Amino acid sequence: MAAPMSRPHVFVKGTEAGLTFFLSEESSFGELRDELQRKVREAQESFSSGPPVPVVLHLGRRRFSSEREEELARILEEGGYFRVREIRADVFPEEESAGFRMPCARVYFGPVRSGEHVVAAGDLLVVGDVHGGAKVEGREAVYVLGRLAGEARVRESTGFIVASSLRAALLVIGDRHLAGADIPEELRDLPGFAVQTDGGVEVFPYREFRQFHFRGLEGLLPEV
Amino acid sequence: MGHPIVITSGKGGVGKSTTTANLGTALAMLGRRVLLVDADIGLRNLDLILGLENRIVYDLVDVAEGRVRPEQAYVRDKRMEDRLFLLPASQTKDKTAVSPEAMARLVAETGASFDFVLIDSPAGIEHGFHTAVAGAQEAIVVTTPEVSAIRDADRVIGLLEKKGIFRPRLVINRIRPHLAQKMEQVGVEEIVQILGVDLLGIVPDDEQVIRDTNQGVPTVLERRFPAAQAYRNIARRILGESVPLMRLEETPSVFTRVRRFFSRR
Repeated sequence: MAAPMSRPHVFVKGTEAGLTFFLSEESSFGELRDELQRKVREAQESFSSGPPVPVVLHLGRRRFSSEREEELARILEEGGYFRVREIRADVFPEEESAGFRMPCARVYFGPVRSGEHVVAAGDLLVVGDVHGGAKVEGREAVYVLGRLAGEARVRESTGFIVASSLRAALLVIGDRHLAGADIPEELRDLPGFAVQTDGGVEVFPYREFRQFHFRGLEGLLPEV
Repeated sequence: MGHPIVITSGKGGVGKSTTTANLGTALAMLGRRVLLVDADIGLRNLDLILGLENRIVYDLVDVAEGRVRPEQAYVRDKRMEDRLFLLPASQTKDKTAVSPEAMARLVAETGASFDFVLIDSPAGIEHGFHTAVAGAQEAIVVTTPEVSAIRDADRVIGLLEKKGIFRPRLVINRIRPHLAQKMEQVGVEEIVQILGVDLLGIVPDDEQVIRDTNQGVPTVLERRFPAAQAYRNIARRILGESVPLMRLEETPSVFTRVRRFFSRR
């Protein structure tokens, strides 16, 4: 009985613009490297004359570290027969996906009591008061449907903190903060929000919220 | 089994032991059998407030470690016939002498013979607090109208909820009506709103409580004082009665009324 045919680790396809090397998503890096070296050697006879052939290296639905991707490109360009035009993958680069807004917020039903620390990976919505001595934290936005008397923190410098009644002990946005004692007296215990400005973290009355441009809220806020 | 209720606060000096002694006595006056457990091991003082300090033979640690049966350690309050008993704390051990598991077992065992088991918790939120809470099914949180006491009460309410004791009830102690009227003290309504729990009662600041405490007499036995009335009201609410909150506005003295009369002229 004939042995079953194993799927190739590297599949080469010719196009008008040159060659595309498709790498199997199910193969290990070692398998890909060895087969790529073999295929490049086999192809050298056909492409020994003329300028280097432009090549696209297609990684499928995965990415390697930049060192490994460079190693694969070096194998392809050995001998000067191929020139890697592009390394392509059907996934978003990490730095690009980091910019995506979290699709949902964590909802916490309060009150958040003294000594408690509520953290959300994305945005945080607290339905209830945040008491003095309590801490709430979100990535880009913290919403408090109640009195914010404790500490609120958003990790992104572009983020904001909004509360129905703002008397926070500490507001932290990115790497800047505003101590509760520095919140203007006329804005305390009123609906308000905090953002990072050139002057650090500032508190504004809630009626001015719509005048700020917040990433991710496009289309949700009325135009002004 | 009787209701095991922990009386706690977080902050020290707000009147936990005084409240425990007075509520226990008031419940006994209303005909219930009550056991008071002093869980403040190493800082025993519930016995002093009840005037029972010279009658202690065994204590909570002796019972928890199995040296004596619980009944051997009970100190009976003769003023209440066979209705009020104290299980005193040890004064020579520390909080780690009794584990939360041992306390839970002890309360479960002793509760069958009583209508109420009131556990006087130590201040703080460390081991002693966790031990005191271990056997309780309900909680009374005592606070005073001071921001520090309110914050600590808030912390304790959160910890009680984590332990499955939801909806603890609140006693606001040492209210000074004249300060509240002048907005120099946090008001009752604001405290209830901040803490978000049901109010069980309010107790006015009454010098008689200090005098009685030093003499080992629960104030609730002295019927004519406002604090005594407040504790009796709280006890009746614990029994499920609907009792309106006391009016704490002070009636102006004759001299004040005369002075007001002449100042208007």
